[in-house]
Amino acid sequence: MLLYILIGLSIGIEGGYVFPAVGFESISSGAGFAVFADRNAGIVDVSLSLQTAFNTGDNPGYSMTTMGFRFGLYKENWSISPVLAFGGDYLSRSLNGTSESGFAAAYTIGAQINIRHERLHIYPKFYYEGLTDLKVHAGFIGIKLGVGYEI
Amino acid sequence: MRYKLAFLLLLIVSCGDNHIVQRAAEDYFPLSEGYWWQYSSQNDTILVEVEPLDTIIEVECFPVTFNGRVEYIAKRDASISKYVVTLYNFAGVDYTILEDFIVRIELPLVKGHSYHHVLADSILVAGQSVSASYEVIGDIIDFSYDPGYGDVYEIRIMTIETLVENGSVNSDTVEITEYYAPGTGMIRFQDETADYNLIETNIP
Repeated sequence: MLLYILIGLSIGIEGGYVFPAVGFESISSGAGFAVFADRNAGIVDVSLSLQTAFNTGDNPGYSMTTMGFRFGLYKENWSISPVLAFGGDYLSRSLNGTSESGFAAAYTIGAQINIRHERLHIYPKFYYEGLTDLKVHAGFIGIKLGVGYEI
Repeated sequence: MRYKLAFLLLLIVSCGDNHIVQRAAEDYFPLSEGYWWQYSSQNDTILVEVEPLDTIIEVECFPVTFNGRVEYIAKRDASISKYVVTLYNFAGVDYTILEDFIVRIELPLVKGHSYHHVLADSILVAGQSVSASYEVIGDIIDFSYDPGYGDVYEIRIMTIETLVENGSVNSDTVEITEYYAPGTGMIRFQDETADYNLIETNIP
């Protein structure tokens, strides 16, 4: 069973920048980081990632941090592949030491350019990441570089 | 498994009234020419109107009228600031002691945040020192969910104006509690005498 799970499994990291696109006018920009595991599931490749992003505000004392997971779908054997993902985030916003927090549903829509070299998979990814608390929707535009290695 | 995760996520997000995305993403201070808000208390009505953009001491700001009384409000990245001028009249001539913008509300709104801003200066008038100060003490007390507006922040703002001349101190303290809703702005305010509620607004 363990062997089955490991065969064809890729693990990797992603990192990049995000910029507010819808709402979040008090945020100037942010940096994001993720670790992921993915594998081919027939027609598509599926991935599960844990990610975090730190966003700085126009007010130097303000920041917003998100931590969460994404369940994603993409096509690794296409040179340019659409990316779809959904998941959830824990948001914490802080101003000079005081903070608020809460949960939000999250989704990602974008595209990535797949570059494959033996077991190594490198991809720049351009995406829109939406956050919603089922009351309001807002989101970021992001650019990330990912590196995966097939075990 | 994936359906369980999605269900769990939706359950977490939909439970409770903690609309963190709304509070983080929406504008609680819509300010543009032509916007207006009308408030009423038990025996009074106040119309607040935003006039065309103006420039005061090289700061772009909106003149905002409160039943005709003008205040100059500047919306900056990290604050809503207000123009303050303190004049001292001596022998029929007005001398300016203080003139600047002071932070009235620090942005963005985060529950529990407190701030304190002071403007202070002094001048010599007929050989006597006259000093003035203007203080703003603000507390973002809490937020609560209102079905009509969403998460509404409650802010307590205390302003203290002080004038010192010939050793005598004249001080005036005003405390006001204001309630701000996303996309709408101030929907209610209370001072020592009355409680005003928004009855009509024009925010296109």
